[in-house]
Amino acid sequence: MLAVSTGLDSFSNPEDIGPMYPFEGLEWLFVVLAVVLWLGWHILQARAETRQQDEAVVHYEKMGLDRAMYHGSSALETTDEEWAAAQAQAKAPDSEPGTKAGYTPSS
Amino acid sequence: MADQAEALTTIFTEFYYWVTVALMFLIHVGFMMYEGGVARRKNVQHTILKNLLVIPLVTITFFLFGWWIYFAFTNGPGITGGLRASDSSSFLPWSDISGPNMQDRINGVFWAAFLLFSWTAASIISGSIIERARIAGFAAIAVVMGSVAWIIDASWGWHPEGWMVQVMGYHDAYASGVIHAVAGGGALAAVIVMGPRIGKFARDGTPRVIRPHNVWMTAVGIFMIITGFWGFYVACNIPIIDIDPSDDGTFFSATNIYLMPTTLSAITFNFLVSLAGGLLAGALISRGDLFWTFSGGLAGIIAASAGNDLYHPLQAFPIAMVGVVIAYKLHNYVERRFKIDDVVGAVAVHGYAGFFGVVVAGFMLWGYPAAAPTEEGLAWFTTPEGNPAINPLGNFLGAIIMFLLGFIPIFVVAKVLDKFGLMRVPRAVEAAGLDAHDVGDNYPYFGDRDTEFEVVERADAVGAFNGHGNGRATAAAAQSLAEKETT
Repeated sequence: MLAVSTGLDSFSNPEDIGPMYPFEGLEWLFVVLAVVLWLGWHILQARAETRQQDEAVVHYEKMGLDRAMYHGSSALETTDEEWAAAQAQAKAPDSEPGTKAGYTPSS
Repeated sequence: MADQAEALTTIFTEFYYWVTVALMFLIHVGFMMYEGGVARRKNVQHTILKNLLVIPLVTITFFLFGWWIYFAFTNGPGITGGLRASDSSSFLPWSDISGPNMQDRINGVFWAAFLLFSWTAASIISGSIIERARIAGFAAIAVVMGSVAWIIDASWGWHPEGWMVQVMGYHDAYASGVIHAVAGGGALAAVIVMGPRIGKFARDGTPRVIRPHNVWMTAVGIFMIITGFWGFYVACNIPIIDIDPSDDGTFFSATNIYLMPTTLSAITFNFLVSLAGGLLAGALISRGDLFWTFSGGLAGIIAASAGNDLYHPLQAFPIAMVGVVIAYKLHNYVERRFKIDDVVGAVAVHGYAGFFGVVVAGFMLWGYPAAAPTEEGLAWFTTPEGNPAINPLGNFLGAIIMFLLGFIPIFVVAKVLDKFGLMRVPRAVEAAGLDAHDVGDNYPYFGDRDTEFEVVERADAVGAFNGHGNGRATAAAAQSLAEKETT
């Protein structure tokens, strides 16, 4: 059978063993790969985040920031009718100041 | 290792640092809980994610270049000599001891201990800019602080052969300046560039209180940070080494980071008593504010840390108390005067208390040996035996260097990132909540009430309220706040 070894093939003389990882001698390559992955992460993260934020801003402009702030994420699932009902209820004479009374987001 | 005593000493040292690393993880659990608790419910997940990403980013970059900087930059370079390229080559990422190696058992655990310090430095900035920071911008800042800025000052002021130690007699055993002042300086730069959260300051400049969404989580978080500090302190020592400088004598002891004698008992005394001083002062000065009482405990330890290898516990006690009072007063003054929105008080707890701690140590330990001399005639002041001597001037200038070494690079990097729109989320995203669009509400079943601040924030963000939204509630709450602000 063909003997293949990526590094050590014996632990019989531990006092003579130095580096134990496979592909010793190619450390420069590991470093290059790590640098690419690290910097690539920053670039991809920045792009993805910018895209997400742009989408959010467009969405908030469309629905109204007030509405998005009032209902948080549930505003994304709110129909215009629900929003109107929530406004009416909040303005009702018996509603307590600060209370988002009676609003139930659609599921 | 054929010799059993040598093997025991080496493997004990390896295990010792490994334990400190595991303990120091608690600091980061604490940071995460603390920031997540302080954030409002619409920002919790983003806040936790931002803090968590410190760990992978600083880990890979500290492996790639941070650890090497510690050994290569002790002379500046260009202050007392050049780059120490050959002395530091073992700590490059392609060195054969930067991985499993039967002939080396210390590099990995010592690297990891320093790495956990690096996470701490970056996390300190994280808390100060929550609820409006972009992850992309903070990620870059975390790398600059965690794998460049703090480790340069550690090379200068913590390495026994660092130029600040050798020339100025700088002494900072448990990193009042080396980690806390530098990170506090960086946090200040970041909050200046980013500006305050929407609605944080009233039109007359009065800061508004923005309550944590979860006080309990915040309290446990900071308690966890204090718990993890045990690992931090112990990791700053060398556990066992022959400290007798003569050729014919032998005396094994623990040492501080400068290889000067101390004991685990000494730092245990002082950690606990400075914590006690900080908690008592924090409770008193803040009139029982839970946040500032806990922060006082942390700031008390930080204020005494520079000299906690040698102080008497009853010296550490008042030093901690005074440090906390200064940090608290300065925080409030700076917030009001300069409209600085440091959400978790990181600049005060780490920056001001750390700065104070370094300055005090210069007076308290005046004349003590700072380290073994590397070269005759380098030090401004020496002991009778020729060691660089700890002194007030060296530590005062050292504290300034530490603070600026954090402030300047973070200010520059944050400004550049800000130019590209990478530092702060868009105003609408901040107002709606950083979780709102992509991950949703943290507590979807408990969202039926606005706080007074949210109402004001909404009014600030949207501008004129245009008669829609919860107009009645807004008017009532705004009026209530206005009344409070005028009184």
